[in-house]
Amino acid sequence: MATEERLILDSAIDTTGIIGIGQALANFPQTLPSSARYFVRIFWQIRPRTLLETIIDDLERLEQRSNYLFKPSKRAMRSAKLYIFETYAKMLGAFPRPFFVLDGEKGIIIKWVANGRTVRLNCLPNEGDQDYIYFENGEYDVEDDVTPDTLRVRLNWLTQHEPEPAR
Amino acid sequence: MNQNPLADPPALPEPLACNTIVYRAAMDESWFSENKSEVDAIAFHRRELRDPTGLTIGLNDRFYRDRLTRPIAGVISIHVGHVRDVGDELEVALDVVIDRAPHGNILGLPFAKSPTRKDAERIASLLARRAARPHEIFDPPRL
Repeated sequence: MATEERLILDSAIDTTGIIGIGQALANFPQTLPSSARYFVRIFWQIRPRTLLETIIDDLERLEQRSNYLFKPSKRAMRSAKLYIFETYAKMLGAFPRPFFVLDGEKGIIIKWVANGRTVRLNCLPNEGDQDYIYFENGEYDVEDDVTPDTLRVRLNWLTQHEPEPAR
Repeated sequence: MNQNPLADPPALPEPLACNTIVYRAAMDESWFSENKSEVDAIAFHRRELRDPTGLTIGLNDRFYRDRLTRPIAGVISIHVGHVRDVGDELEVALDVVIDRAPHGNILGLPFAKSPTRKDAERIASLLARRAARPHEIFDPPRL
């Protein structure tokens, strides 16, 4: 894994929950000479965005432009980021780029479409809500037990033409 | 005059012809695909508080601009016959009924919550893919 990608993941997933990617820079070793830190910052600003950063940028842009009624709740945003960070950490380059849909009830749907198949992860707005995955090809089903592992399995089903039926 | 209301029931609305096109508001731009050629299934999710009777549609595409109070991302056109086809395929009584012209509803959708969540998701997905098309895109959103 590229160093900066590891840095992003390590900084984003910690025991206290999700923190901003920008925090990675703030945590950068202060023991480095200031000139080295300066070059690291410059490099960080001009390098190409990683897939993970692009996905999170898409999500945050959606949140920022949404109006009050559609603005996703903190819980929905936190869940969406957590699923993305943790599943990305398991799949790395195989993690497909998703689309985001606002459900109008302060939830977020993370949506993947490929090979005639669809996976929709519903990140619901309220504490106590049970997130779920809806998936379909010719068949369809709902998966209530959403974890990074179940999402990884479902995304592998989406992208790798696994022959077994949906359920 | 006969006072029994059942003796003189109101006339049932004429069923819409299958080739009728009706219209629904796209409340957010994420309800369209990135290239704006497809409609997302979320446009056909029925919610308990918002859609107690059914999903609101209009008989003409100007309908929303007269009644809404906040900007929308566009208008979705819906083919009535294709709505009925989806209902037939899934053995659900789906129909489009005009109650107070030009206002109407798509009737027969289950709520998008447990225990009907799975069927609601499937119906919404099929309606989005087979019966709905982007009709107008508003960028930026407007009334």
